[in-house]
Amino acid sequence: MKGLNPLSGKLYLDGLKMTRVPREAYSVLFGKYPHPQTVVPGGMSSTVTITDFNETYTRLQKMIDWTKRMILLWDDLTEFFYDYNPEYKQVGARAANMIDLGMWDDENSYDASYARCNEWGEARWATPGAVIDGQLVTTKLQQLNLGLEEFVEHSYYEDWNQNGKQRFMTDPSGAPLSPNHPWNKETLPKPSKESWKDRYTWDTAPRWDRQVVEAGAYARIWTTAAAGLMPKNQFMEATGHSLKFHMPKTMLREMDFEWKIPTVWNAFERNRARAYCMGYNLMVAYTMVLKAFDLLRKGEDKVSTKFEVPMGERIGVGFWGAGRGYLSHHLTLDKGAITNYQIVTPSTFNASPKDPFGNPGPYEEAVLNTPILEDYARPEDFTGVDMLRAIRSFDPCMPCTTHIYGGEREIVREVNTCACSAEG
Amino acid sequence: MTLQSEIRIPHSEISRVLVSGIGYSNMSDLSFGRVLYGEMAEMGWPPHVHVEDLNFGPVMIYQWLEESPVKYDKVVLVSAANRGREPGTLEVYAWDGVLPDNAGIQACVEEAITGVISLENLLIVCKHFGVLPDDVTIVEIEPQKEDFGLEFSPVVAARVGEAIELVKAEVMKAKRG
Repeated sequence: MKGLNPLSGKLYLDGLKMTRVPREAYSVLFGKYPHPQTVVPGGMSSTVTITDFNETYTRLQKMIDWTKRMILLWDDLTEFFYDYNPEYKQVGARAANMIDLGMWDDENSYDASYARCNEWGEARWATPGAVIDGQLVTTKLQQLNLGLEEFVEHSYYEDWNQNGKQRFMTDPSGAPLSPNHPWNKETLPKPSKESWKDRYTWDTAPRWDRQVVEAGAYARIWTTAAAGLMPKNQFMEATGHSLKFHMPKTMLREMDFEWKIPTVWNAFERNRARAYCMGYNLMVAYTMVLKAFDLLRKGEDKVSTKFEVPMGERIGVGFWGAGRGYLSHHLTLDKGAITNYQIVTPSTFNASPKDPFGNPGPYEEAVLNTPILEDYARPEDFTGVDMLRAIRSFDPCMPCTTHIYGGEREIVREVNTCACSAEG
Repeated sequence: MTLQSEIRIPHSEISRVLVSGIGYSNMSDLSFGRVLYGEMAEMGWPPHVHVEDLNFGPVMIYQWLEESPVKYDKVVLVSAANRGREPGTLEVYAWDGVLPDNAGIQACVEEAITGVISLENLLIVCKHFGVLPDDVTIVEIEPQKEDFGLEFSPVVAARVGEAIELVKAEVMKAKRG
């Protein structure tokens, strides 16, 4: 176990070094990391060459090697904790309620239209979906969109519905839209005194179908595994209850993995699923790079399509995934300018406060369900590691922003930005 | 990255100096380093000086320095810090290079990975991983206004030119011979 020791463990140091490799791969195609410079409406502004893809391919191989080790490690760690004390299965536990919008479009299906979003959504390499009590209930992007609502009863915002006017009654297909849908939302900040009974956060409470759902890379692998809709390919297979993938020989030998939908949902399973999701994501990338080589060989190097900013009033939505999971952008345009821009991120879901129906947000619920298994002799030795594990399991961005309040032992750090990813 | 100074200047003749300003954007006086970095990046500098944005995350920066073909002899960083001095006080000092214990260093790494931008964090992470030279000079202002804002308070704005002159003086000290 010494390998994970901070600053000195081999796995720790290797991991720190490995953070550079995907950033390099990303920068080859997107100019810099984070915040890509070459992605524009209609495609990419850069020219891609065989060299770009060779450089990407080389880095993918390093990442595949690393991920083979990480999957084995997280399997090992998870089983170690379960064997040591089965109560660890309760750390961060909550019902398996989650949401994901899928990502990685099939170029033959995607046309950017809302009218066909169900079709091109289901053709994605990661299948969109909502999971309630462990069961996949939809894979339709339109349903995922229509079911989304945001509430601010416990947040530092005014309710935008107070004026009684709902901007959009339906989505573009005529389906009824909630007044609490992001297309109808207006951000009205209302800073006020912190009150745990009243308002206590700048986060809103997004809900899907009025259910408390969480978001993460693990939701992506879950919805894809359960749906079984993944395009046929040589490396991956979604079976309906698992996701199998074959990782080719790199420096390490070729290996086969299978992530099985777990029977319990907790902090350890989130981390384990995230490790497997790295492998799954990499094999999608690997498949795409091989495809790119093939296209270049045929002389097909087009990276964009003509795009004109529409001038009339209209609404649009971006269905995508961040490294941390679900990400949707809801916009209204008029005269070629953005008139409303609402973003729902994974953390908006996960860190959300209580909703108006009294349901706590995912972090809150996970902490409430977490037993204190930490050994400590004196109160001042208490670190709260079980609760920290619960919250941090949702999101790799959380290590620095999760602190334990212990009266005079409060640890506070104000974070004004996040430079960890290109998620926007 | 290959720097022009690496190509033109033989290492035996001149020290290489890395200059930057550290801080968040749009945080009034606390953005002193960030804003001055922008101004310094537009200025002409002697070939042994490289001005670089070092606000993209200390772990990434230590890896960038580790990979860099240029090994710097001196680093000059501009920043703002509330140390209870008279607002607008401008100080130049050599960083003592003293690191916290391992738990403190690890806390800095965690914060660095998740996006914290701070001078202290940058120095500790880079020093721990052995990519900082011994000569690290800080040009530091005492802020008056520390919340969101696009402009400096008058006492801080009045010291901008002087701070840049101090940086220039520091980089010239690094010239050998």
